[in-house]
Amino acid sequence: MSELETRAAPAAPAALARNVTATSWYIAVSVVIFLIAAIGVWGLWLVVRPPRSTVAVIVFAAASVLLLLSAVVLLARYRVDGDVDDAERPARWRRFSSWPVVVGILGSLALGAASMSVLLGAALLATILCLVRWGPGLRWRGVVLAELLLVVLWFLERSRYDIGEQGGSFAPLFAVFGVSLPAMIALSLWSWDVVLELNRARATEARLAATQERLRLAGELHDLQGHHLQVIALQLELAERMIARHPDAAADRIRLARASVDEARTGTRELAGRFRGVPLPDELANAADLLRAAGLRVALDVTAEATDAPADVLGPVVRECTTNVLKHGGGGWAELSLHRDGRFWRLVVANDPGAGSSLGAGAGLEGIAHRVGVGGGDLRTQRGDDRFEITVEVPVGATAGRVR
Amino acid sequence: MIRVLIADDEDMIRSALAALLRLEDDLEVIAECRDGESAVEQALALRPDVCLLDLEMPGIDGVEAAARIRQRVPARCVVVTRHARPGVLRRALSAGVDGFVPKSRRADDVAAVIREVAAGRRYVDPEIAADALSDERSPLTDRELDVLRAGARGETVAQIAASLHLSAGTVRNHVSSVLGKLGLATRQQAAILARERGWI
Repeated sequence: MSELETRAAPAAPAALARNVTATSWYIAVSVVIFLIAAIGVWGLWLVVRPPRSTVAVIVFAAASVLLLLSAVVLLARYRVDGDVDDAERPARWRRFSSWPVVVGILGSLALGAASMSVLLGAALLATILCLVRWGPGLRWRGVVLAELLLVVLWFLERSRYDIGEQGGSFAPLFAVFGVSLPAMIALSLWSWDVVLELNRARATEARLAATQERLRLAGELHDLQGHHLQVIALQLELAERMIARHPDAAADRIRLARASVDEARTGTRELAGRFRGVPLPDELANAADLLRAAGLRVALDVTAEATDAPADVLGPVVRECTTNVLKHGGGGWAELSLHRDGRFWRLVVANDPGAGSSLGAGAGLEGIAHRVGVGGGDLRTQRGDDRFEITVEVPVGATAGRVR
Repeated sequence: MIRVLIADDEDMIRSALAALLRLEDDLEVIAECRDGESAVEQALALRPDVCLLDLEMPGIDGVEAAARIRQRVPARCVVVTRHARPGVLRRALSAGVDGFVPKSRRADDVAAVIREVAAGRRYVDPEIAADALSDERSPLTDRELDVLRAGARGETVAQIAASLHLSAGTVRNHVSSVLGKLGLATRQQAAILARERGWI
């Protein structure tokens, strides 16, 4: 148990979301397979029992196909309606008076007629009606009633399930693949709803964590700003008192107040920055979007494993380059690519060095080159006639943590 | 002399900024407006060299005002904002805005940006660019965003279907997929989230 818990704890949200999807599919597929198995068993009985009728077998096969088709469509609708709330679903009468329900009902009646069994017809009819989303609590009562009726039918028909003198009877099989059919389907759908509900609860939990983080941040922000506002107010008060007799000293106080404003701004930004941060592929995609909005042709080529790339080293490079290209305007195209080459991550940013658009014009690039160098990486620039290119290589597993 | 128009609905900020910019020798503030509509009107009448437009104004916002001004007169436009939501920078760049600065910049920095822009260059503040780059990407497809947008004012599934020329079933499929991706229970919650993040 404890081992299971420790293994479940660090599971990523994406993995959990995949598990939910897999469970949904598992339930849907098992419903369809159970239906196929039930129809198969009844079909087998139809073929082996003594007065064999080719017409009945053909009708049975055709009706089976229609029934399965309707069941699959109804399952798909059930799944979609499970996500949206009741106001968004089709009105209840529309759910019942739609083509898959009509086809399903006709199919189950035809299967009952072809096999000359009221039990099969009634069980399949109840199953099809089960697949429609009823009002809350209605399905359970319906299924219990249907099951009672099916047990009675099975009891009345059970002597007909024998096959000739060789002995043997399909009666026990039909108790499983006939009588229990609606109950099995209803149980599966119920567990399907529970899985979807759990999935929503999981998402709510994640959002709650984010909200708590935001509240904590708001508290810190309040403390930070409160402190600086008090400093500013005191400095300004002092300046007001001194301005008549010591104008120079008053000017100093005002300068101090402004410095305090700058500190407050920087602190606020750092605080907010701790809260932000997106994976590197997203940052590159955002950069491409912005450059496109600025009228450039952009080629973006990012490897699928780029989520593992060190965002704290390469992120500033992307930011600096994008700002430089945006700032200096002009230029017709830009290229962004991120790949893994053995033990190195390679980020290449290139553009045309046309009218004033220079990728590496910002002074920030030197600082970044230094930081990349400390992390064991390397930054190179290359200027050609029609291409200016910055290449950054950092070792796999590098972080800027030690440098900051 | 660079002739400047200032539009900001906050009187204290606008008048202080105008007074500080008037102290610069090469700048002349020729108009002060308190909303987007009057900024467009004044810009068309006075033909300033540079328009300094606040992003958050009642009526039309700074980006929309810039787009309308640029259609009619050759003025350069700088958008000033307190809090740049990343989608806004994208919109501003597509609208052809020449400068984007946060409100927290000092007046002499703003003056430098005005000179830069007046000389035909573009200026995007690094802080705003960094914010725009660290923006969370929308996990939704364009079609799913269309559905959210069409239903943002509480429209029913049938109304969304009619306005997008889709079937009600298709709209419901999109809604289901949106709610699944965002882990939300209702379409209204999804629309609120999408608007907060600047996706729609």
